[in-house]
Amino acid sequence: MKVQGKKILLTIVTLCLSLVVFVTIQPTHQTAYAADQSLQKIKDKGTIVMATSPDYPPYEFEVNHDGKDHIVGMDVDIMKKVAKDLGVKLVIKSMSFDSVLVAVETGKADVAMSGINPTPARRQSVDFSEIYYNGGQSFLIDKTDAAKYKTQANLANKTIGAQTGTLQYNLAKQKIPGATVKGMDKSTDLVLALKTHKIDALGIETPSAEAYVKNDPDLAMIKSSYPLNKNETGSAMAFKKGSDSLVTAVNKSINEIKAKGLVNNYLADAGKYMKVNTVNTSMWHYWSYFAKGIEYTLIISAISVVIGVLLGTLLALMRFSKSKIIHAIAVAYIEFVRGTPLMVQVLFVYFGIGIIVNLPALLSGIIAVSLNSGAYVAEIIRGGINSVAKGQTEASASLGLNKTDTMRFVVLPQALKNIWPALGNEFVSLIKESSIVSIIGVTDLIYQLNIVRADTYRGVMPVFVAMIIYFIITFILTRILNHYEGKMKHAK
Amino acid sequence: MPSDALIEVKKLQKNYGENEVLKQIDGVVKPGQVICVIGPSGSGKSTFLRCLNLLEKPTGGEILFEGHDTMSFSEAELTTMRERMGMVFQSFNLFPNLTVLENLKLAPMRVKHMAEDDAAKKALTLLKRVGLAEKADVYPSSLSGGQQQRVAIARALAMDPEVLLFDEPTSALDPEMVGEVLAVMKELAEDGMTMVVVTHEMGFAREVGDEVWFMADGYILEKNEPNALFNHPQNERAQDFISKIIGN
Repeated sequence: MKVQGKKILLTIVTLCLSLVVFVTIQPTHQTAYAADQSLQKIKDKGTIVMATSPDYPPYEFEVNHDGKDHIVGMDVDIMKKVAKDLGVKLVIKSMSFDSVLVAVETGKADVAMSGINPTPARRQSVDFSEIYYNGGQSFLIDKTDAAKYKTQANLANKTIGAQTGTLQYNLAKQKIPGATVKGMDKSTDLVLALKTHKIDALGIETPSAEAYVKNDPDLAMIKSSYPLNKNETGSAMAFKKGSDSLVTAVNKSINEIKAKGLVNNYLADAGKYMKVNTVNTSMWHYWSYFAKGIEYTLIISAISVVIGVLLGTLLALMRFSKSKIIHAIAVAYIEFVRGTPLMVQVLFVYFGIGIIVNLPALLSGIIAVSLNSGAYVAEIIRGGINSVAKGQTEASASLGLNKTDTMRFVVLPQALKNIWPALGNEFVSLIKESSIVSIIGVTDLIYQLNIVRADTYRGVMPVFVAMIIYFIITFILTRILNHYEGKMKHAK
Repeated sequence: MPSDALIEVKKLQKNYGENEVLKQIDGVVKPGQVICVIGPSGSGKSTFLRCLNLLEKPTGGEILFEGHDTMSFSEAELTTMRERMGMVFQSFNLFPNLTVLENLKLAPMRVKHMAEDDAAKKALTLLKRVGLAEKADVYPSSLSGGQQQRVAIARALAMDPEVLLFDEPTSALDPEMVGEVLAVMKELAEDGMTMVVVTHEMGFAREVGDEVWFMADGYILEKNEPNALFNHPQNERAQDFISKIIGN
């Protein structure tokens, strides 16, 4: 027993080590290799892929016109111009803000452009273009507080909100005396926090602040008085390290845009789209967004359930194998997957495996959720197999049935009946947990929900709608599962 | 010795750790014989029976089936041996996920690769034989204990076994159902089926058995034809056991 335990431990450790080696070695190797083919590579393939998080108007956001969703905004217009100058086509890949820099580091995208500030920390992992826009820093406040907070000095000792990992977050922390800084991932959540008085002010770029104030009568803004270094506080495009030739070419376009003052045109353009979005902010108007979200959530869940059950059955049978190696592989897999968060697994499949094979986001999401579900289903099935009375296996053996047939015709059908409720729970939680794939830009329900929140400037209603939709989906699923459970009842 | 033996047991031993359940068992089962194994609870009767088809792995000795050493069988040979050595369990062990008919068809179709129609025909004939043809399409859970055990016997017969092992087939039954199961077993014996029956039904052993083996403490202490063993037991433990059973 002890020896076996050691073996399993060794397997797990080996697995972890190989992961670490894989993750640390691979990117450096890659960087050295890609030295400076960057511009040539873009020209050869004829497209430039831009990673962006379209929940940040006026920089980038989604708009629905001609019955189709488009990602628009100032950043998109600038990148269109850059692509035109390079003589290639622009392809936009949307994902969460956390993921855009990783996307260029791992080669999922050629450029990240999402109102990114080129902070010194970020400069260590990616190359930046020149600053293409410097909107300045402001604070959003509740209109009822407008008399209290007139300048940045009034914010001392208050609670300031900012997006985690952004310049605004660091500035508030370092430059506002006595302030408590509260970080969240999404600006839509922060605005909601502001309106519900969880924070007193929200540090945000001036163009975004202006957009919010224009579209939400409850909000007001004050300009910041930070002493700022323009090279750090403007927005720039990020590229993979060692993309000198590409950066030089892009800078040429940026300089032209600045010289001709084109940014103002682009901002005006964005403003027009934002008006389209806020003409009608009822949730019915955005039904197609939710419908698309439901579609993707169901696609991911349905495929992952099927693969998860197949994989789970295989792993459970491997655990019963007489071969110690097969047994150990199954145990190591199950323990490892259950011991790491699904979110990390999703990121690992998309970005980590992505270094070797370029998997699209949807496929990566399905793979990660399936692999995850397989581990949990395996344990449920193992419990189910153990729950079948020993006499059943003996009766089957005494009739001359071999082990495979005994499993297939006698044990598994009975196990399935016993574990049906637990399996149902797993399906229901899979539907809910699959929402994590939104971080790599799969347009599932949660992703779409955030788009709607960004477009409409309504913080709560879309969340409520998504909640109801999730409930309806899981409720229907539970009814269906109960129906089949009833059908299996006869078999004692 | 007897070259016509179907099963030959030599110096069979079975330990569970320190616990010696079977100390030394010798015996021969010839084709057509009905052997009834009796003895007090905990004497190792069931363990002995389960060693015959290797549901329990013996720790010592030999078991020959048609002259072949069963303990050196490969997995496939073991499966083939079991296919010819049917077993009926105390707790029936019908497959609850299958109908009565499917319970009977499964092994002939999967093991003997019989066509479904033929398997169904054969199953119905056997169900008629145990008086349960009208229950073909119900699930086992809707049957009484006695009916379930009769189906279990039919299921074992569906493989045309050379020998049937019965592990206390009536012990889990309500008293009013014991008769119907014993009647089926008696008919089988009369048709010439080779049977090894572990039982507490002394009446059955006396009436149907060709030989009765008395087991206690991991040994077979006495073997004889039923009348001799029940009327004039030689062994002291056997005398004690039989006087208690008959006396009550």
